[in-house]
Amino acid sequence: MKVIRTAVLAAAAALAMIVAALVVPPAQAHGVTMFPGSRTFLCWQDGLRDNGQIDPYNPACAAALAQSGATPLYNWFAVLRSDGAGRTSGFIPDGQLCSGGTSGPYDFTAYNAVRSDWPLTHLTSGANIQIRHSNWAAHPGSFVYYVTKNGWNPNAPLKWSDLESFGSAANPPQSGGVGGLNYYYWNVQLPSGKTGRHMIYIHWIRSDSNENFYSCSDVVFDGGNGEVTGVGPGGSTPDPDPDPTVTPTPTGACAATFRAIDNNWPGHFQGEVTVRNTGTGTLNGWTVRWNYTGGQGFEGSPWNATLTGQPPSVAAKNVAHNGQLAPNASTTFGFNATGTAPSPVPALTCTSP
Amino acid sequence: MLDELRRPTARRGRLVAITAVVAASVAGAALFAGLRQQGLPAELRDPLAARVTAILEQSSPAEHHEHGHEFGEDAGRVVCAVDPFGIEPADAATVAEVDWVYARHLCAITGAGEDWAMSVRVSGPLAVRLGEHAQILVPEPGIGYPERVRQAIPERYHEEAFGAFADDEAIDAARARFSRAR
Repeated sequence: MKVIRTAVLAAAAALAMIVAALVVPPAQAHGVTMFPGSRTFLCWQDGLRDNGQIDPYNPACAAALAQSGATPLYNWFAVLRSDGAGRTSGFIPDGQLCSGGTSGPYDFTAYNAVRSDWPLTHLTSGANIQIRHSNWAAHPGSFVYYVTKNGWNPNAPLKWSDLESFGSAANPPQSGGVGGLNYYYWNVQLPSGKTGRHMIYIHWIRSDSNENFYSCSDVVFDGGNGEVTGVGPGGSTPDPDPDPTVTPTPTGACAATFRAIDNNWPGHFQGEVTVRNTGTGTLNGWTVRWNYTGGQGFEGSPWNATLTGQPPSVAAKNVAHNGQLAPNASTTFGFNATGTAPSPVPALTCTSP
Repeated sequence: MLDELRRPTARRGRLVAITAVVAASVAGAALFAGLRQQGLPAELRDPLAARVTAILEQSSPAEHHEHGHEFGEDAGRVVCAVDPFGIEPADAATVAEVDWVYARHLCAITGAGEDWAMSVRVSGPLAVRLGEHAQILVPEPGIGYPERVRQAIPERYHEEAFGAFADDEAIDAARARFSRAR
């Protein structure tokens, strides 16, 4: 058995060490991107249970937690360097962009892993979105945002030369007070001509100190509207290929069923709706509607459906790849919801298109 | 001072701080290699949990001096759930005979919102040497964490060390204290 030689800790020093392990001074805990979600934020969301333990559903998040312990993930907002000073290439080594190198207060090295199964946000190239960046603590500064270049290889470590900036936002507004899940927000137009897997990278550069923050967000440009896949129980990646042919058909009838799933996520449940073609012709497009009466809402966007009506009068429409249903065929869409699962489940109507 | 303690030289080398006593304990544990703890008896587990909880929670952070005012007067209180799974010596029959406690811990900090789960900031196994001068060893998070856990915890408890809380009792109690404290 190898004996590790270190200093013996006196009681006072031991207590200080436990304090250090327990508490990140708020000055060093400021924020990462919440939409499109950064790896640490989405892994935290994925695994956080109602009792406060983290038990990831997502395999990439589970691997990172197994390598590093849960403590870094509880501090998902603290991917930072107190000595950052706006530096990029040459300061943060290639392959360590997602962790901000290795000298921050928490070791997020495991979140640099090159994997295809990190939580994923689905976006549309050229679309306008609102970026949201946690304001765990607020400071003046700028958010420089990047996307990977076309031809980027997602199966290799992320390098600075893979990124191209598509803008920056200085001192954007905040949605609410610090210390919670509020955020800075600003609108951007996503770059056009992007398809498939990319990374959106955001570098928050404080103007009042050298402290900087780094966020890697795994995205896919597949016509999505902000759906997040690979988080929570049953998180799955939808088929990104749009249906190539649409045959004109008579309008068919459809039926939809609603299932609420307790996903052990505080203040949330998961919803799953199955749409079935109950007619004799091929269905071309469907819309499912229901009313929430308990103040329920959506956490992020649904997957495999697009919202065309917001709560309480929800309307969810098909996406490109699942609007066409043969007679008796069915498809499923899902979503993370806020609030208590409705009981009984709401009555659904289904129409086409 | 706190910053220095948060970056001890041991951290650069990715080592966990282990005292010579722990090394001796681990060597002694080889004698009990065949002894598999299925869980401590309640008459040991409960008072040990209480003692470790008190040690952890007493280290209330005064270093919120920079931004403490943002989180309110009662902000920054540490509330912990502790779930002991092992002791040294392995055959200690009373708390007085226990030298080291090995436990899972989960600690939250008040002040940043009302939700318990969202306020947790640390968790994992740790080792506490009881006595007049308590020593607390927390395997440092980050790459290499599993090996540091195995260095801090006797081999007979390695499986337990990586496990979840045996039940939610300790967490529920901490949660209740958290609600009162915030």
